[in-house]
Amino acid sequence: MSRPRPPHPQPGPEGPASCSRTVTVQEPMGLHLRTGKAIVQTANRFQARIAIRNLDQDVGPVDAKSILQIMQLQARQGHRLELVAQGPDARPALEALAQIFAQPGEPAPPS
Amino acid sequence: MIAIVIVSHSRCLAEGVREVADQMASGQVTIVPVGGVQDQEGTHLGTDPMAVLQAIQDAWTPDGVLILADLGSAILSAETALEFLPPEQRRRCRISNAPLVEGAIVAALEASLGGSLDAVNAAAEGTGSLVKVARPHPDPRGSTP
Repeated sequence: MSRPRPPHPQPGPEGPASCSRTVTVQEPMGLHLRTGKAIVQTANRFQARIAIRNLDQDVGPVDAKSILQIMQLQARQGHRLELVAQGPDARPALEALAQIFAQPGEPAPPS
Repeated sequence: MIAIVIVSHSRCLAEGVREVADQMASGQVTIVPVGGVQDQEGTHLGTDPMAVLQAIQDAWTPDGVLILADLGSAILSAETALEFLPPEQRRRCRISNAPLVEGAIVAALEASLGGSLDAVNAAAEGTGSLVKVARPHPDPRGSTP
């Protein structure tokens, strides 16, 4: 099976204003369509390039601004996703995205 | 923001696809379902080019209209409908090659984010190569586990 293409250019820790954090999929049904929609809508509010990698399936990185690519993450409950953002608003972008993965009533995991 | 027309042989299917797509677009995108043919005995499976034309006109926006159809005569009906449109409107319509359900879901979300007609269509058509179930490579010896 072919892996999804990484976003171009691929965000990396060497670039300016790059940051990352790892979140865990909490939903019993995995990362489903509505959550994918929330990720894409949130990611598109920011200028930063944002990549997501499924650490447990070794899939990605995929572009967080593309629902098509997010659907290829095959993220199930318990999978860890690494979010890498690069750009002037990288940090608030990751804050906003991490909120999506936080369980109700719990704060987002720290950076 | 572009609009979307869903063409299916089944009115129910067209409306169901609209329901799913509408949720992805958070109700921000005009999505018009059309399908089925009516006669004196009721509604049957099929597509009517004039009904598709009416759907395109109902959905019309100068940003463009993306038409997603199931297959076969639904495509022909959409093509015929476009022939009845004035050339300046026809230029702003695309019949997508995307799978109907997956394409509509992606198109609705991309349209709600403000994507152009061609960008939304490209994203929708990208669903055609989407892998749904990851399977191991087949055993070259041809035996099944």
